[in-house]
Amino acid sequence: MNKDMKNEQKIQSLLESDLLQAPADFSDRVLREIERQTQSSGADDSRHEPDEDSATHMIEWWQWLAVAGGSLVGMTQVTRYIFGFWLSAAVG
Amino acid sequence: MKNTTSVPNDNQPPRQRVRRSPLIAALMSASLPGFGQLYNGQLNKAAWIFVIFASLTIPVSAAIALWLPAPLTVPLQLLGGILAISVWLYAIINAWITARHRDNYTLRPWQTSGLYAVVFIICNLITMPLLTISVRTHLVQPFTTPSNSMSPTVLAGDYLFANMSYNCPYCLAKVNRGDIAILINPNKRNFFYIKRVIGLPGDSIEISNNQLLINGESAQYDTSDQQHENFDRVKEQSGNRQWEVQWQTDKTEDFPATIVEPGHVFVLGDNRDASNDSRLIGQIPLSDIKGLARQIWFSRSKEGIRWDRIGLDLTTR
Repeated sequence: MNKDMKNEQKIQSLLESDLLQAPADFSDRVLREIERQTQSSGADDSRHEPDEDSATHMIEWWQWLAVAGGSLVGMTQVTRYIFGFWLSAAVG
Repeated sequence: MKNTTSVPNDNQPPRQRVRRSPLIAALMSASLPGFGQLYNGQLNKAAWIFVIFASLTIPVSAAIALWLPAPLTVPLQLLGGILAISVWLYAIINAWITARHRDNYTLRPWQTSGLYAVVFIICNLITMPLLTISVRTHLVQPFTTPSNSMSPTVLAGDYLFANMSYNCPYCLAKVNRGDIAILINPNKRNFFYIKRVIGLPGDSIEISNNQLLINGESAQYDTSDQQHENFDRVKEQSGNRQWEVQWQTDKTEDFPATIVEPGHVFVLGDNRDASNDSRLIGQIPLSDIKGLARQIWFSRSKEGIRWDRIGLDLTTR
């Protein structure tokens, strides 16, 4: 009985207290922090950007080469499959 | 090629969001129908497109053709080719259109260059060539005749389809007298001959004064509708099968009576004076009889295309 009364009092005190309120300048502070972080990561990126660009460019070049070469081989095989059926062997 | 951003995921590493290139998708489907769909992440569609292209067009049309009357062989082969081209074009266009709408696409875990390479090798470089070989060896194969050994039935410049499901335990057709057979050249085993089966195992074959005698009975002869100034042409009939033969005018052909050995057949060319057949090369083992001439699909001579020969049914000639 005493324990129940103590729990009820605790719950009552929580219900009577106000919800937490954000500070008035909360939005401004968050945006400033985002901007600061963006600028610092942009500075890092600008130092590494030329190397990453050339590597990416090289990978893309190889990918295009693979697609082009594979397409040539593949299309040859496909046309051979479709039209090669009509290639006639000679009978004497 | 890619504009990538990462998508945060609570429990797994972030997966890349990419933009799919329509050109790459179309090129991939052009190189292997269904491949572009794989690039676009449509695994089920990719599989079905490939299955339909590889097996439900040319191979199925060839198989169906053997169950239907011989005159339908050429139309069905044409249909198979048209269907294959249609599926191919559909795969290319569909891959292009789908990729255009995949601006912010999440790459699947299985979409790796290694998978693409394996699929390409298995489907394009292994499966399709094997299917081609299988269709030509066991179903339907095209042949062309550079010689006139089977004239007037089959002329030099004729292109024909042969039923390769012939002369085997589970084949659709068995060897019968009068069949125009495709057989292996006994002297050059990489080359084929085309001759008519005249004598079956155990038969007695004789030619006397240009007349064919099978088991002592003379074939029946009738005047041919097509006469030629340099050749005598007649209709030769044995049993319920009739065909046309020719020999040079005023030339007499004799061949002594011979018994066809077990497991062998006796073959003759319809152009009796210009045929390297069993009279010269001997009896042919049944195992070397590979195909049954079915239908002419094209014919040309020095004078041009012989339109009247296209579509001729060789199973009744």
